[in-house]
Amino acid sequence: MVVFQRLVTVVLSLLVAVSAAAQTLPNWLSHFSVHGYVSQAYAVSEKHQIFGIPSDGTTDYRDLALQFRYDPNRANTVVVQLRQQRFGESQRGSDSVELDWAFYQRHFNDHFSLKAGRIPLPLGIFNEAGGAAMTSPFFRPAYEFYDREYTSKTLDGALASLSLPGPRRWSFDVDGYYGRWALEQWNRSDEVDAKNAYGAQVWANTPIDGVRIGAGAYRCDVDPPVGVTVDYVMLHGSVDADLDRWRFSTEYLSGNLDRYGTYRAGYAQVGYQFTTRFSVHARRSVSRMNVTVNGHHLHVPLSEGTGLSFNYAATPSILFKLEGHTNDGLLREDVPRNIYAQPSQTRYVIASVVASF
Amino acid sequence: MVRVLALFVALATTAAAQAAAPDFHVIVNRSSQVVSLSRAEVSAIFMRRAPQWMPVDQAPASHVREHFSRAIHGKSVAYVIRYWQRLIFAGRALPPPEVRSDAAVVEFVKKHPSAIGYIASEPPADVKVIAVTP
Repeated sequence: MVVFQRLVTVVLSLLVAVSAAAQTLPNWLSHFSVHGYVSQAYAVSEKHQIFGIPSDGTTDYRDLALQFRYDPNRANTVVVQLRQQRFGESQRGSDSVELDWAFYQRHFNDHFSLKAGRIPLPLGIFNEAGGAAMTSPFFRPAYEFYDREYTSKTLDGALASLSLPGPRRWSFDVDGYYGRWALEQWNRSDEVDAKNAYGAQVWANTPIDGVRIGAGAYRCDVDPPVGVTVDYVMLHGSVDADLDRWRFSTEYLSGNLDRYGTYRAGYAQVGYQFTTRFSVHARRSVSRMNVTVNGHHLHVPLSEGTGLSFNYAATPSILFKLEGHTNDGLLREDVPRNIYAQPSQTRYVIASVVASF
Repeated sequence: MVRVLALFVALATTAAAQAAAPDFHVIVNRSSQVVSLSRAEVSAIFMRRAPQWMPVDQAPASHVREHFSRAIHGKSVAYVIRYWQRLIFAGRALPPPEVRSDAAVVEFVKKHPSAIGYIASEPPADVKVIAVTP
């Protein structure tokens, strides 16, 4: 079985490579397009396992996707994306290739469209395109904001998108959605159902090219493995500035987890493009929980991360990333997570190469 | 001395002529009624914010793409690629098709009445060159 799963991985990788070489399609396929990326890493931690990275290192660390898109005309689009993610020793990710997205989009005009199916969830800067080569200077977007215990990468349901022109070169992109998704858990392979989920996100594109400000909110009913259904209400805000040489992103997430307390997370990252090929990026991220146990309020310092990443673009679609991180908190995976434990420090390094087409 | 001066003048004239020559020509189908577009309009077309046009881009590593990107978008090619990757891998939009030569751009523009492209070489007579205003 393992051999078969690895074979599927190899075949998918080859398909990515072959597709990259075969982008010029015959005329009868001119409405069909294929895109994809492969992000393959070597990762090693100093002492404790974190994010699936063991202290003896692993090359079983990758994220790859293959996207098929069919635009028969300007009004209709069908998108299917297959994806495989492996995170070393973590229970998250798997050897098998998963159906990441499958949705139909109807464009009613140039400003309004509807999507239905399994859709990338519009949440913050990196949720929809987090793994793609040039969109993130780190192997993964900030865990604290994009933690799958509280957010999802996809939505099973419907999404309406509206683009609105504004005054003085401002414009607005609005998304509203309804459906359900699954929340993941570190160190556990089972997922948690989040249903009756609905939310919205607004991006304000400023008159400065590459600078935008976003805000959103969602709520969902979460069915934990044991106990009663709880109601999550999350608010999030983002500032994203890509000024060509300088890149800056910051996001904040504030969640009310019903009887589980509250969750707060945020990060800021800044990067500078020294040459057309070489750039350096730094990131600082924090997450906290406040829980009430037997009438006592407990402040849980879940994670404080600092990262530095060196990026080298060999070509416009091949990017090498070398990143070092320090994490203080409760995320080490070689012991069961304990909110009463003292935070411990873990350092880890990820060296990766990303190719996309 | 006169020869040196003549050589200097000749070199200076050649350099000035090269400096005045555009790095690229923006071309459209001969049937198009458009004679000029502003830089912002061309940028919007190539960012696919003007659906009535069918833009065609050149390969990311080409010099003409870099010149075009700097002159029209005011950004590097890397910036434009990041912009498109964000949209592609969010399943939201696709970039203009890319071709690998000026000749391929000309063929594309000749074939599609709403096409617009840019080339570094001297445009042939069977496509129309439009002016790009600031």
